[in-house]
Amino acid sequence: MKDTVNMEQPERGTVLLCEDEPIVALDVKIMIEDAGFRVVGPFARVDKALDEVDGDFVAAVLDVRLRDGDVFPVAERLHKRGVPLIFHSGHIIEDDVALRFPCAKHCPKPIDSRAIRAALRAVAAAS
Amino acid sequence: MSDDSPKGMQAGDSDSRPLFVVGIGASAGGLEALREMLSAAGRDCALAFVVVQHLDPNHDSLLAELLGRHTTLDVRQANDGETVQPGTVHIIPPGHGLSISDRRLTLTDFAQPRGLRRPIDDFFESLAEDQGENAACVILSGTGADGSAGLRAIKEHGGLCVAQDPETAKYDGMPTSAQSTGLVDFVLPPEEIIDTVQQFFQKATVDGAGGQLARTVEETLGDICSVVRTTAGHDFSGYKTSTLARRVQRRIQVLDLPDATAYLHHIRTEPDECEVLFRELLINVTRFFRDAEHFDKLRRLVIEPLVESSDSEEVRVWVPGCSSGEEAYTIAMLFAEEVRLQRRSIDIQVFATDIDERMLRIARDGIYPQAALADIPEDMRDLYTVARDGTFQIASRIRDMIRFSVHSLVRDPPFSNIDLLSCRNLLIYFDEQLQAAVLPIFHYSVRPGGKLFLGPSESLSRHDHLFHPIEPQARLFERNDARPEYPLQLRNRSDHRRTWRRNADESDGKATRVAWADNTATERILETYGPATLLVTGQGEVLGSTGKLGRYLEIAPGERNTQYAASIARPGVREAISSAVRQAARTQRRTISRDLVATSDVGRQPFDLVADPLKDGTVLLVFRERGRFDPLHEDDLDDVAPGDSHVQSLEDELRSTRARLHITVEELETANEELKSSNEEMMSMNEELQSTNEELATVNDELKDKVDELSVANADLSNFFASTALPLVVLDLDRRIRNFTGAIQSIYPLRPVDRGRPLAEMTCNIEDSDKILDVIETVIETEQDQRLQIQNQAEQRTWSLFVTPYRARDQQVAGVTLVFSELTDALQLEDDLRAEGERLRLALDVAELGVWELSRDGRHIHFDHTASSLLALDADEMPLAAFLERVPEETRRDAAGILREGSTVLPFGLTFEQANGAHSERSVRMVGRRIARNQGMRTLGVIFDVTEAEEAKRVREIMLHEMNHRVKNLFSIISGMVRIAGMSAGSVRDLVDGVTARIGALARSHNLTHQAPVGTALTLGDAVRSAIEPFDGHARIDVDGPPVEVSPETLTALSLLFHELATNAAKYGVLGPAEGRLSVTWRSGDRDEIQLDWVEHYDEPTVRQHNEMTGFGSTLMQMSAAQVDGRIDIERRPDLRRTRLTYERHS
Repeated sequence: MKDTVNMEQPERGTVLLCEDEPIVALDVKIMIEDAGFRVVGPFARVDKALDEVDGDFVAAVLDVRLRDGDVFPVAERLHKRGVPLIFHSGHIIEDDVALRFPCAKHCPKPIDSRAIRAALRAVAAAS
Repeated sequence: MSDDSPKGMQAGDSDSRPLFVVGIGASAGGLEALREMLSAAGRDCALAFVVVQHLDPNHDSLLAELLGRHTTLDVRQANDGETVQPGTVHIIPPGHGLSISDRRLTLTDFAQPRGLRRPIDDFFESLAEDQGENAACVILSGTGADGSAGLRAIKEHGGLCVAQDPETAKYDGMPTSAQSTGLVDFVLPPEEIIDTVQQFFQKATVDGAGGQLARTVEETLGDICSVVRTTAGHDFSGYKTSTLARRVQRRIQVLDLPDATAYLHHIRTEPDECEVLFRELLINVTRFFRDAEHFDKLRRLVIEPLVESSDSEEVRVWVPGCSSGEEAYTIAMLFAEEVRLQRRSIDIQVFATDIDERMLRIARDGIYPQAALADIPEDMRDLYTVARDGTFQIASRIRDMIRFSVHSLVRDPPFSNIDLLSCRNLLIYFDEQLQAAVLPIFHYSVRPGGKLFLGPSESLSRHDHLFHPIEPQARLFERNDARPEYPLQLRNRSDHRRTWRRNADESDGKATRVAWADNTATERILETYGPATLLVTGQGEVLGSTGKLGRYLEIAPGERNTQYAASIARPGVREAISSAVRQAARTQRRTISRDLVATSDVGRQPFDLVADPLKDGTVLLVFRERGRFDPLHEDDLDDVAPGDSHVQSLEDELRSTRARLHITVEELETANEELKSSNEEMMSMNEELQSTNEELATVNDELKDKVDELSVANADLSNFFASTALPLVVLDLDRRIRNFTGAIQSIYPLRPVDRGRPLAEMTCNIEDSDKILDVIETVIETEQDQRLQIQNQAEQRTWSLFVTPYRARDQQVAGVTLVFSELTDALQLEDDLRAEGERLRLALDVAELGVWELSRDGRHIHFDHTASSLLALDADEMPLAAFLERVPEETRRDAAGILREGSTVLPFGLTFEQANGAHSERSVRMVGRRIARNQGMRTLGVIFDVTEAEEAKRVREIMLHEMNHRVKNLFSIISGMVRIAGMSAGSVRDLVDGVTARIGALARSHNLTHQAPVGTALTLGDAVRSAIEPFDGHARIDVDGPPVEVSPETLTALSLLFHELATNAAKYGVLGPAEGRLSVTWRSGDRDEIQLDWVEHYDEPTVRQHNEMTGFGSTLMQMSAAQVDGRIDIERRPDLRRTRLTYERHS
C-alpha cells in the first residue's frame, strides 16, 4: 500500500462512510484516508451505520441508497448533531436532499477524488 | 232645440281628452268607400269608429278582415257589451242591429222583416243620445235612405254630419238622401272625411273652451238675422239669442271661419248658406206624448168633454209649429181613442202647420224610428201604428185626420173657430215681443171657450186676460169670450214683409184692438145697435163681420177659412156686393148702392149698401136698413123668385160650375189618395228590393275580394303543380284522375287528356301496380293514411307511396291523394351508412373504444355501452354536471372547460383516473372534437382504457431511472477498481490484466441477473459456477450445497469475492500451477448463517503457498465480505487451503 505514509501523519478527524458497493466503498475509504482522515465503515446497511452513528465525526460521506433503504435516518441523526454531510450518489433526487439538508455537499458518482478531498477539507476547515 | 244648456261644451271642458265617436253608415258599394275612408286614418287618430253596414244575416261577414288590411286602425267585429275605443273600428256583426249607451255597444235583434230594417238610423239615434256633441255620423255609398233620419238625431244633439260626395259613391242613394235633408255639414270624398272630422272636433274643443267666438257671434246676430229674413223670408230676430248664437257658432266651426264677422260676410255672399242656417235654426226635438202626464190632463179636461159635447159637429184642432208631426199625431190619437171609447162619430180635423216643408214631408209620411214607439202608450200602439222594419208608421185613419200645410204663425192668416190649439215648445224660442204678437193670434183663432195647450216652460205672461188657466201645471188655458179680433197687422206683414216689424211696433193698430176687445159696451153697440157690417178684401174675401147679417148673408162667416162675400150673399145682395166692392177697391172712394132689397127664405129687407175702402186695401161693407122687414107670405112666393137678370144667371152658372169643379177636385183627390197608397206600397216593396239589393251588393263586394284572393291562391297552386319535383296524383271517388304534377311521368306517363280517366287503365312503370290500386281501395274504405314501398325493378328505383284521403270542405272523403317520394338514393345511402356503421362498430369493439356525445344543449352527455361500462355507469346518459363530478378533481376544471366551452373547435384529449367498481383504478382517455352538422355543432368523441399503457409508461420510467443509477454505479466501480488496482499493480500489464479480469467477473455477475428466467431467484451455486467457469478443465472442481437464494444486491460482492478466490487459485493454486482439486461447499448454519468453504486440495504438499491477504485482491475480498456482513477465515495446510466465508443470509 502506497499510502501507508499518510497513515502515519496526524489524523484530521474521523469520517463516517456509508457505501454498499464493495469496490466503491474501498475506493472512497482509501480516498478519505489519503486525505488524512480516519474512516469508520464503510457501512453497506443503514442499521449497521446507526449502531456507529453516535461517534465523534468531523464529517460523514454518505451514499443515498444502501442495501436496506435510504440513508436518511442516519443523515438525520448526524445533521441534528451538526455533523457536516457529504452525499455521493448516482441517483439522488437533488431537490429532495437539498430540501432536507440544505447545508449538505454533493459529490456525484463516479467519484472524483479531488472533489471529495476538497469537500472534506472544506468541512474540516469549517469545524 | 229645447235643450238650452251647453252640456256638450262643458263635458268637453271637464274631460281633458274627450272621446269622439264616429258612426259610419254604409250599404251597397260601401266596402270600397270604407276602405278609402279608413285607409286615410293616421296612426294618431283618436276617434272611435262604429261601422254599420247592411249585411246579409245568413253569411259571415268578411268586412273586418277585408278592412283590416288597409288601415292602421284596429279593426274588429263588435261584440255585445264592448266599449268603443279610440283608434278602433268596431264593425256590426251580421244579423244584428247595434246601439250604444255609455260608450258601450249593444247588439240588438231585428224586430222587423228584412227590407224594413234601418240599422243605420237606429244606431245614429242611440249615438246622438249617448254622445251628443261628441258624436259624428258619416253616410257612405248605398241605395235607399237609411241614415237620413238618424242623421237628424245627430244634428239635433249638436253632433256633426258628413255624407260621402255622391259623385264618388258607387251608389249615391243614401248620400243623396242625406244631403237632401239639408242638415249635412260636409259633403266629401271618402279619403278626406277623417281629416275633416278630426279638425272639426279639435276646433270645437278649443272654441268651446275660449268663448271668444260666442261673444262675437252674439254681437253680429242681429245682422245675420236680417240677412236670413231678406233671403229666406223668415225672421228669427224674435227668437232667443242664446239658442241662435249656439247654432250660428256651430256653422262657423263647420265652415272653419275665424270669427262671426267673416261668417256675416260669408252669409251675405252665399245665398245657400242662408238656407242652411235657416234649416239648422229650425231643428228641434219633438216626441210622441212628450210630458205624458200633461197629455193625460189634456185628455181628461179637454178632449173627453169635447168629444162628449160635440153634436156631430166638426172638432177643429190647430197645431202650429208641428215640425215632424209627433205632437199632431199624439193629439189625433187621443181624439181617436176618445171617440172609440165613447162610441161616437165625430168629424175631427187637425191642422198641423210649420214653416219647414221638409219637416212637413216627414210628418205627412208618418214614419218614425222604432225607438219612438216606446213613447206611445201601449194600448194605442196596436191600434194606431203599423210596424215596419226598424220603423213604424202612423195608421192611415189617424193620418187622414190631419192636414199638414206650410204656414207661418207670424206671417200667414190664422185658422179660426179652433176648439183646441196646441202649441208646445215653440214660444220658448221667441223673445217677448214675438210672443206678444203671437198670443192675440191664438186668441183670435180659438173659439170662445176653446182651449190652449202650451209647453211646460211657456206662459201667457202679459196676455193672461185673453185666456184663463184651467190647469196651470199642465199649461191648459181656456179662451175667454171676449170678442175675437182679427189680427190685421199680421196680414199686412205678409204683404209687406220687409216692414212688418216696424208695423208691429206702431201702437195705433194695437190701441184700436184693445178698445174693441176690452170695451164690452162698444162690442154691445156694434153687435146690437150698429149696422150689419162686413170687412172684405179687395177681392171680396170675408175677413170679419159684426152685427146681424142673417138677412143679407146665407151662412155666418168665420166658419170656413176663406169665404167670398158674394158667394154667401142672399139674392138681391149678391150683385150689389160684387159691384160695390169692385168699385170701392178701384176708386178708393166710398160708394153707396141705394134701394136694394135682400130676399131671404123668411122675408124681404130693403137696404142701402155702403162700401168704404180702408187704407190697407180692405173694404168695409155696411148694410143700412132702409125700411121695415117684410115677412114673406107663401102666396108671395112667385113674386120673390130669384131674379132672372143676366148677372143672376151667370152667377148661377158659375156656382154650378164651381160645384162641379169641387166634385171633380174631390174625385181627383180621392184618386190621388189611392194612387198615393199604391205608390206607398210600391215604395215599401221597392225598399225591400233595394235593401236586398244592397245586401247582395255587399256580398258581391266581399266575394269579389275573396275571388281575387282565391285567384292568387289558385295561381300559387298551379305554379306548385307545375314546378314541384314531387310526383303526385289526385283521384276522385271513382278512382279517376283529377289532377297530377308533371313529375309523375317517372311512374305514370300521364298526359293532360288523361284527366278524368280511371287510374287503373293507365300504364304504369311499376311492376306491382295492383298493389297501388289495393291501397287506394283501403284508404277510401278506412279513411286512414297508408304507406307503401314500390319498386321499378328494371330501373332499380324505389319509391315510397303515401296515400291520404282527399277531403272536401265538409270533411267528407272525396277521393285520395297519392304522393310518391323517391327512395332510391335514400335507400342506397342507408345501405352505405349501415355498412360504414358496421365497420366503425367493429373498429370500436376491437379497440374497445367507447363513444360519447354531448346533447345539443350541452347539458347532458351520452355514452354507448362500451363507454358506460368503462366508466362503470348504470345509465347511458347523465347530466354533464354529474359526469364532471365523477372526474377526479385535478382534471375536472380542464374537463369542464373543454366540454362546456362552446367555441372550442379543435380536437381535444383528456386523461384521468377513474375508479372502476370492483376493479382497481383505471386510467381512461377521452378524446373528442366538435363537428359542424346541418343541425348545428355537435360535440362527440371516443373514450378508451389507457391503464396498461400508463402502467407500461410508469415502469419504463422506473427502469430508465434504475438503469441510469446502475450505469453511474458501474462507472464508480470501474473507476474505483482502476484506482485500487493502480495502488498495487507491479506493472501496467498486471494492472490491465487485473482490472480486465475483474470487469469480466462483474460482467458475468451482471449476466447472471440478466439471464436468470423471470420469477426464479439466483442461487449461491450460480454465483460460484459463474466465477469458476473460465477455469473449467484445469482441475477437478466440486460444487455442492443447498439452494441458497442470492439477492441482486449481494451478488456483486459475492461475485467479486469468488472471482478473487478463483484468480488466486489460478495464479498460485489448483487452477493454476499446483496439482489438485477444488471443492466449493456451503451449508446453512444456525440463525440463517451461511457458511461457504472454498477448499483447494493439493496433490502434493505445498510449502510455498501464495501470500494471501496481501495486496489489492485481499483487501477486496475483505471488503466484499464486509459488504455482505460476512467474514473470511483462511486455513492453510500443506495439503489444502480453506477459505471460509460466513455471512448472514438475510441480506
